[in-house]
Amino acid sequence: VGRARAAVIGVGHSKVYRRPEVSLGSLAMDACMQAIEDAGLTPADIDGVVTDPMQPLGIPGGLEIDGIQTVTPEFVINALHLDVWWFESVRGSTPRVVIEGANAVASGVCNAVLAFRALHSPEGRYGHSNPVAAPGAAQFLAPYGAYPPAYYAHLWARYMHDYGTTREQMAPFIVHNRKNALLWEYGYWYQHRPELLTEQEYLDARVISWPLGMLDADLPVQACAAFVITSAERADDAPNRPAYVRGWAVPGIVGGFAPVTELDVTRERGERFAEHLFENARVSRGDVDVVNVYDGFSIFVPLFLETLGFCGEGEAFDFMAPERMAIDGDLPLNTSSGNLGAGRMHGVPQFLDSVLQIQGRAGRRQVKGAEIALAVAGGQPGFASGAIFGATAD
Amino acid sequence: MESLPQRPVPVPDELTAPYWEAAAGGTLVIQRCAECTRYQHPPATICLRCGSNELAFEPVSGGGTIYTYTITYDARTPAFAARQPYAVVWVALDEEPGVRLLTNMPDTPLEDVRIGARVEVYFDELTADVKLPQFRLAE
Repeated sequence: VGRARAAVIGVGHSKVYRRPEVSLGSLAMDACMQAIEDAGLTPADIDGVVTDPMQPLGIPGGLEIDGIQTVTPEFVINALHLDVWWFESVRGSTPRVVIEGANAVASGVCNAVLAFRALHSPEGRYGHSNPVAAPGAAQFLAPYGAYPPAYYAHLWARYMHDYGTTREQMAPFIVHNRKNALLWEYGYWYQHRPELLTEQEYLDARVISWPLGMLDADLPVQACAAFVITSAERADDAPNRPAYVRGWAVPGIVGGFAPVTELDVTRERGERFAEHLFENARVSRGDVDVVNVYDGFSIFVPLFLETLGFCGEGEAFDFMAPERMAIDGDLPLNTSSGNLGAGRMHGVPQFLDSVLQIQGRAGRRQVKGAEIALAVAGGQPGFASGAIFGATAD
Repeated sequence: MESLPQRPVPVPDELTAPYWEAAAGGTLVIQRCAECTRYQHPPATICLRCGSNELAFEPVSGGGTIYTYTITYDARTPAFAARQPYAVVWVALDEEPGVRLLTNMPDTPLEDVRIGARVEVYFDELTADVKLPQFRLAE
């Protein structure tokens, strides 16, 4: 054992919209059909479907309309007239969608799973509302005006205190990331505003919750991405080189019902997650050729590098030197440009780019000789799930 | 009643009612495990450390230290837009520094909100029936 049992053989991505001018169901159809064709298959070959229909900013009361503001597996099954053995709505966004798709083919239940993630971007100012009551988890948060990004600003403020770092030290990464964004054809900035950034523009951007500013947060977008996953045996017949799912990990500790945003807890959980990930994939850190970590808020990037063990505690900002992070550097970082470059696509850029890098189809982003790619998303360290993709099954 | 727009009012449930009842009476209580003696917050149905369900609410001193904070300049809700800039602070409780509570420290100048500062609880009247635990710099 140790040989990968599942591989991604096809991918698709819809156009990216800032606002819901095209229904999410229509975008999901585009992405799913692209992925099926890319895998050399037809809808008749798909016998499993998985997604996470959750929207980061849902409609109160869970009143999203299937095919407009969210897309369920049932929608895709009906729209494509699929005959499936298994379908599932999971939580945990793109990483869990890919992981559960891999599990379904690894278990032998399915031959070819369509795994997709569709993200809705509502009209109006994102997240603005006027709640009068604070039930459930909100009872300890909303009365204090504790909404994102305040939670995540907490991580950074404590990080600065513990290691004597500054907000200015984030600027080189943001500049690096926007360069990568202009190579990510599935992203908002590439498709709509191909503009580079300077360090000064980053530092001058409006502060939302100090130390987090406008350019430390991703931009909500409306789009869908899809992956076709098949067993490692069948992957050999695919038209494209397979990206084998070498291993994966999910958050190892489940906490209470409020968001945990304290640096010490985040670090402890993140380090445990990393142990699981590398052990499960039977890969060591030194084997990793390209890293794509979730960056819904910029501070997650240094925290992922530290908790994954690519550098020591408190060392990430020194480690994130532009020459090391570059596509031709020692550890190409967020070659997808992440969510900061793509838009709020929750794990899609991290996973899609990892697959394309392994397949040798990353175009101008291609890391030469990439054989092992690491993708992590779904929250800050310790709350994220991740997978390691390989060019070979073992 | 509040002079600024009303903040969201907590809705107590089976798990949290004792916390809000005590707060309304001016006491800070925190859930504690009878088996392993550890505190936890927010309340849960089991002890998240040892798995015991022998849990009860116990009064705590209300003293603590600022673990981390943020200052929000662009709030999502009218209630907090009317109060911005405002601090959202995690306080580590003296009884067990791993147990932390959120607060705004509305009586404290923002420049005095610092990691490591000593703070103490007080109760902020949200409605006639609901009081919100808040913290200020300790005497």
